[in-house]
Amino acid sequence: MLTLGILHTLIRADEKLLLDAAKKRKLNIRLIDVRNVVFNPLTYTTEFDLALERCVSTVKGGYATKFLESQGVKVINSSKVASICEDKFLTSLVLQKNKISTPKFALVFGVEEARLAIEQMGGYPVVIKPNLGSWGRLLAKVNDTDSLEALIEHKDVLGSPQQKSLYIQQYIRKPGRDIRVFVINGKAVCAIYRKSEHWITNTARGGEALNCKLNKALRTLAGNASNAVGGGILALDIFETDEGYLVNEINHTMEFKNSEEPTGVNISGEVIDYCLEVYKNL
Amino acid sequence: MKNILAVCPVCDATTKLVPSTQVAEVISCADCKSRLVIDNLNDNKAVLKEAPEVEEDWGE
Repeated sequence: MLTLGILHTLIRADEKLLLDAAKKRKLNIRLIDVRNVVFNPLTYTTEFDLALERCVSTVKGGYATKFLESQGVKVINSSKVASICEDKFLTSLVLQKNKISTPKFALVFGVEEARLAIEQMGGYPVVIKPNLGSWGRLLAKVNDTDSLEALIEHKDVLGSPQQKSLYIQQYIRKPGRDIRVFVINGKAVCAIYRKSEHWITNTARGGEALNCKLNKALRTLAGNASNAVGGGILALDIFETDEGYLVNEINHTMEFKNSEEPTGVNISGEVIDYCLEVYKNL
Repeated sequence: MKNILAVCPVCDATTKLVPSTQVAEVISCADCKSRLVIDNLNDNKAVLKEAPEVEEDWGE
């Protein structure tokens, strides 16, 4: 029987759901708080067959994954998938290279270049996001040059080096919601609308999770986007536009605690079943 | 199975935790609603500490 190592930092309600699902399937579980591990290749011994990376900290999860992979351990999601999905610019580049519809975007390091990029993508408003970031943190809708200059000056003075890489994305007018599709091994398992009066629709920022019935276009788009970034367990954030769907971002350590009830889908069970499937094919 | 008892480090209220509680789990104090983390578990007693502030790389 599979012994599954769950890599974590803090344990959220999502990890508790995964533990319940694993218990129901009688899996052996090793909870591994990566903050308490010495990742020394000369001394480390592996006590599990397969790892599921569920760290709240992207950086810690990334290093733990890379270390385990160096020791020959299969980790879900792989470091290759994580390194693309954790970075909004890299995600956008991969989507564009694979001809998957996504908002216009650019990366710049200064004000003049930002002005030029905004002109190239059709003018204001635009959204400036941290390349690494989640839960709707530090998103800025920029409506004019005055706001742009103020934002960039603040980032230059107060921000970390990472914050000085400016990812600029075309602002998409949403119909009071966006769509999150949960995708496992290239297959869309369910989706929610994230409904909000605010332009930021993340559930972490108060967006309401409602069931979204999957249609053929969403299933195809989800499969294609998943394949583009390397597959695994993913949550795609998608905008609805008059011209069709646009993939906004892809999350590689997805949260789903608010989505099992509205969709009626046991997402945690689907995740654990996928781990079992991967284990059988090791 | 017995509930686990713990004292909130913010308001001193005694909180009952479910048996499936795990070290590093995030909970809310039933009294003051502070976000807490299980720091230690021993038999039917748990030690709680305040949850850390959200960091720049936290998320999905």
